[in-house]
Amino acid sequence: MDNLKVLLVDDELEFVSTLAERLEMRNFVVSTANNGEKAIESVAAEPPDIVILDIMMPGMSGLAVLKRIREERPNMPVILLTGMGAGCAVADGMDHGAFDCLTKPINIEDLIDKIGKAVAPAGKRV
Amino acid sequence: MDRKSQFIGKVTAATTHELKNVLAIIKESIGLMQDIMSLNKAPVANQDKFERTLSRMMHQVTRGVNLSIQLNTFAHVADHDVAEMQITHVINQALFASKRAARLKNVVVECELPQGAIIVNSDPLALQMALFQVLGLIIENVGAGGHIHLKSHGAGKPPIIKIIAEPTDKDRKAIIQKVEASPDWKRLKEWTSEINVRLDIDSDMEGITMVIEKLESDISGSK
Repeated sequence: MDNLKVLLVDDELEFVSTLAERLEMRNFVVSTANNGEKAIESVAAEPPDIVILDIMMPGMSGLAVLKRIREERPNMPVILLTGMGAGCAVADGMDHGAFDCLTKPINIEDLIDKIGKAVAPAGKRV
Repeated sequence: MDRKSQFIGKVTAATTHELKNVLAIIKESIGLMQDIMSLNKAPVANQDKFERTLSRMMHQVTRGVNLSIQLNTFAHVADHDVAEMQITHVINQALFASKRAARLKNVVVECELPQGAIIVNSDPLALQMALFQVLGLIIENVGAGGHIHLKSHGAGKPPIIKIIAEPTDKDRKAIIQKVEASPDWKRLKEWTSEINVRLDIDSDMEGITMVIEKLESDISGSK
């Protein structure tokens, strides 16, 4: 997965910057956005291979961002992040077409595993 | 549900989300330090101490995450007047809520969870309070080093939670008699009857039996 382009979207600046550094150490090319609007702009300006998106953000929510991405780039894989497990259940129930959902704090190995599956050609969307 | 309980529930639930964000940042920061150390080919002074400390910090993050998950679940107890709940969930929440009180008295609270699903239909907050207070009474009286066992079954409906005292050096019967004689026990029996929960001293004087009868919405609404 060397040079795979990942867009990290979360309003928690320190979370985003630290996770970005960890992914960069593993040869991912990481860009970040701290709100939904910036995420949409970033996807349009320089489409990443995958988006890691926090559900609960002030302003435009993660699910609203996901909906926009689905409309404009239906094949772009998105992995959702949430603070509580219930958030993933809600997101699943709403069936917005995210590839998967992880509860924070995440395990980086789990995240990389899911990224790998999401970008693989046979990656199954849920 | 009264407004005060709803308010506390909402603020607590929101705070647990923030806590998880804080813990996520700490976890990623520890992870980054571990990454840097593992990439460092040259030996680092006091490397073992760094590694031990990072591992200890990670352990505390995990502990904090578990606490915030339980606190979040507990905060949502105030969401409904009457709800269907798994009895295992009720017991686990009571264990969480009583953990500190038990630790301070050097008492161990254990539970034997049922195999199948046992559903109770009750006021979630009041039921938690009732079980918490029953546990509190036994924790107070069982003595240091004592054990408390929680068992449940729903075969002979309605569902039952049995709270059994196991003291180390005291007569079990004396403990239960002490609980029964306390003014708190009388008060507890009275108010739990309002939510269709019946508290009884076990016939063989092992502990307390909590019989959870189905609660209709209008009963709870009149509290």
